[in-house]
Amino acid sequence: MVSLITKRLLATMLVCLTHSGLTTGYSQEAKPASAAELTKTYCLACHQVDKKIVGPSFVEMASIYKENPAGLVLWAMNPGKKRPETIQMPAMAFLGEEKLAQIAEYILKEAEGKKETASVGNTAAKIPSLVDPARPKVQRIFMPDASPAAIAVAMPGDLSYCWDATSCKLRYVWKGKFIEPMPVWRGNGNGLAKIMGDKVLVTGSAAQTLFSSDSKPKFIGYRMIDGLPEFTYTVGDLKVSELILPLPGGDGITQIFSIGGASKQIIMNIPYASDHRLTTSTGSLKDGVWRVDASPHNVLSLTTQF
Amino acid sequence: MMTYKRILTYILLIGFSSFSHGQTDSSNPYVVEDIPTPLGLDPQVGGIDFTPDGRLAACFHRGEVYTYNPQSGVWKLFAEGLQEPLGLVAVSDYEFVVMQRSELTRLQDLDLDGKADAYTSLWDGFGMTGNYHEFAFGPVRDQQGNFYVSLNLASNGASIRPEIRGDFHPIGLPREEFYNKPWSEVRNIAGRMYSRVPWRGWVMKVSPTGKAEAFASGFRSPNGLGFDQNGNLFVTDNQGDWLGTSKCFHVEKGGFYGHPASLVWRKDWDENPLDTPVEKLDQLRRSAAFLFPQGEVANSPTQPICDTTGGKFGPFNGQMLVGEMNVPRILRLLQDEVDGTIQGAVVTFLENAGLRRGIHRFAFSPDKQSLYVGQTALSWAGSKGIQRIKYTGNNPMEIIGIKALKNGFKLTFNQKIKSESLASLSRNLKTWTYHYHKSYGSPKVDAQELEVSSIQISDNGKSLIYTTDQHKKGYIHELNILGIESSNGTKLINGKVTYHMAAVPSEKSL
Repeated sequence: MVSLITKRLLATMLVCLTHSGLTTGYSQEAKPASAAELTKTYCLACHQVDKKIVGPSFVEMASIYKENPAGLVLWAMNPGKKRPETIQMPAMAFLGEEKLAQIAEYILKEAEGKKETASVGNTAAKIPSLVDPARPKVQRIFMPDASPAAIAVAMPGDLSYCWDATSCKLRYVWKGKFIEPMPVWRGNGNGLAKIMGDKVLVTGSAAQTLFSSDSKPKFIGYRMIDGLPEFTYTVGDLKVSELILPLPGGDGITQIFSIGGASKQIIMNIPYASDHRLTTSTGSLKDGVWRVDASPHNVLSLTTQF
Repeated sequence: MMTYKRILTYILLIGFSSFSHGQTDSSNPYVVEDIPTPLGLDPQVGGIDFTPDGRLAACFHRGEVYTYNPQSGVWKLFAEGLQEPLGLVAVSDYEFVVMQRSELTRLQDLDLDGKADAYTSLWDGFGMTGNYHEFAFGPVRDQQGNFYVSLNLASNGASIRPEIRGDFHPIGLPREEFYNKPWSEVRNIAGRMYSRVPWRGWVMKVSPTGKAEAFASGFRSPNGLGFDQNGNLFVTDNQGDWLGTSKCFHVEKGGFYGHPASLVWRKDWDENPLDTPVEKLDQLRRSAAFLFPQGEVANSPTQPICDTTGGKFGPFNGQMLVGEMNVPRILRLLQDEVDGTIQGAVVTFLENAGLRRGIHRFAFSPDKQSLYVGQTALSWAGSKGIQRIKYTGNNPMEIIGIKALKNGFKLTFNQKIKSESLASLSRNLKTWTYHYHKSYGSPKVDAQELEVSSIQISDNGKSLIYTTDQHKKGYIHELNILGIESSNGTKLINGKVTYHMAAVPSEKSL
C-alpha cells in the first residue's frame, strides 16, 4: 500500500517523519497499536462502520476510496470540506502515513459487504416539528438576517417574527408556517433555521436601532404573557417593555411599548414607515421618525399593516 | 393574564418500569437503570440538578427544561425555547439558572403554577460570532452563590456570520478578511480554534446579581466545571490544537491554561498569540492537574462532580467523578498534592456496567445513594437519555488514594489487600508525555517503561508502597494494578491508574 502513495504525499510526509522521531522510544519499548486500536482511538468518535454520525460512515468512505486507499490517506492528512451540513475533519497528519495507511486498510476492509443504515433516531415517539407547531411558540435559535442571539416567535394565527436580543428590536415578520430548525440542530449550530413563509415586514439593519440614543440597548429578558414574550431592555435611561401581538386578520402587528425613565422626548426610528400603513397611539410620526413627549411612564402602541 | 391556554404539562410516563442492565449478580456494587424520558422529546441532556424539594430538573438539546419527580415518575415541563442549554443549577424549587448559547439565564416561576414566567438575562456580556463551535458551558455555583461558566472557542471548520454580538478583536486577522477572502485561505490563518469576540476561551465568574469577572483563560472546549470538597474549581478541556490529550485543570483566578487564542482578551496582551513563541506560552501556562490519555482513558471528558455522599454512594467520599462522551464509562479522580500543586491520577469506573455513551452531566440524588447521569451526542459520538446508578451496598475493591513519593507511590485501598494477590502484579510503570503545539492532538512522546523495584503492603494492610526510579516531571506515570484482591477475595476491576506528575516531590515535600 505504501507504494501507492504519490510523490506529493511523500513530500507532505516529511513533516510527519520528524514527528515520529520523537516516538521511537515508545516504539522500541511498547507493542505498536493494531489498526483496529488506532481506528478506535482516532476515528470512531466521529465515524462508524455503517451509519453516519459526525462524519461519513466507513461504508460511504469505501464507496469513494475502495480502489484508492492512498486517496483516503491523503484526505486524512489534509482534509477538505465536501459536505455543507457537517463540520470539517481535523488533519490527522500527526499520526504519520504508515499508521494512516493501516487505518485506511482497516476501514475499507470493515466496510466490505456492509450497507449504510439510517442514523439512530428517537424511536419512542416522533418529536414535534417546529415547522407547524402549536402556537404560540418561542424558540431561541440561529436565525437568518439577525445576530446569533435572535429569538423566533410564532404568534397565534399565521404570523411569526424574529426579535434580536443584541440590537433589542424586531427584525422581521413572516407569514406562513414557523421555522425549520434542523439545519441548526443537525450541524451543532453550523447552520441557520429556515423561515417557513414569506417576509411581510423587514425593519432594517441591526445598526438602525429603534430608539435614538448614544447608548447601546441592553437586553434584560422576557416575561411570558399568554405564551407570548414581553421583552424588556434598557436604552440609556429608558427602561422598555415590548409586547408584539398579531392583528386579528393576520395582516399586521401591534407593538406595545411600556417605557419608564424618560426625561426628554422619546425618538424612535421607523425607516420602513413609507412602505407600510402605520398607526401610532400617540406622538407624531413623520419622515420615519416617531416622537413622543416624555412622561414618567409612557405606554405607546405602534400598529403596522403590511 | 398568565394563562393563554392551559397547556397540558403533565407528561405521562412511557412505561411504569425502569430497566435494569446486566446486573443479575447480586454481589454487584452498582446497578444502572434507565429513567424514561417524556414522549416527543429529544432527550439529549444539557444539564441536570436536584431541586431542594427533591425533583430532578433537566434541560435538553432543543431548549426544554423539565422537572421529574422520582417518587411518582411524572415529568413536568418548566420552560422551553432555550438556545442549546448546556448546564443548569436549581437555585430553589421555583428558580433555575441555565447557561444557553447566548446567555446565562434565570428562569423563575413567579405565579407558582410550575411553569417559568420570567426568562431573565443574568449575564450576556460575551461575544458570539455565530460560529457553530461557540458553545457555552456551566453554570456551577460556589458557596457564596457566584456562578462560573466557560466559553468555547470558535472552530476554523467554519467562518463567522455577518452580524455578530460583541466587539471583534482584530489582532492577527481583521474582520473584513473573514468575509472578503475565501474561507479556504482564511481558515489557515485564523487558528484552528479562534477567539474573535470577548471571553471566548475563558472561564467567567458571575455574581448572583449578574456582575461578571474574567476569571481564567487558555481554554479550548471546556465542557465541564465542578468544585472539589474544598471549594477548588476544576475544569475539563478537550484534546485538539494545543491540547495533546484531554485534561482537567485546577483553575485559579488569573491563570492561563494553555490554549493561546483567548490571550487577546487579556489587557496586557497586544500580539497575535499564534506568533508568540511556544516557549513563552509554555512558560505562561499552568499545568493540568489530571491528564486523560486519548483513546485509552477519555476522548471528551465532561462534567466533574464531587462525591459528597459521605459513603452512601460507595467508598469514594470526597473524590471527583468525571463524565466521558466517547466510551460508556466514568472517570474517577484521585487527588494528590505536591508542594501546593494539586495533581493526581485517573481511574476508570463503571465500565461495562450498562451505562450508555455520551455521559455529559451528573447529579447526586437527595438520598445520596444514587448518581443520575444525563447523556448527549450533539452529532458527535454519544447517546441520549437519563440513567440512574444506584449503590447496592456491596463494597467493591478499589484504589481510593494515591500519593507521589520521592521514589515511588503510596496507593491506598478501601479494603485490606490479600498479600498473595501481589505476586501477579505488573512490575512495569509506563511513562510518556505529549507535545504542546498548535497541531491537533499529539502522539505519545518519549514513552518508556520503567521498572518497579518493589511493591510492599504498608502499615494497616490497606496501602501499597511502589518503589520506582525518580519521577519525570510533566509525564504521565501509569500503573497497572489489575490482579489485586481484597483479603476477603473481592477482585479489583478498575486497574489502570494514570498519574500526571505535574510537580515532582522534593525532599522537603515528604
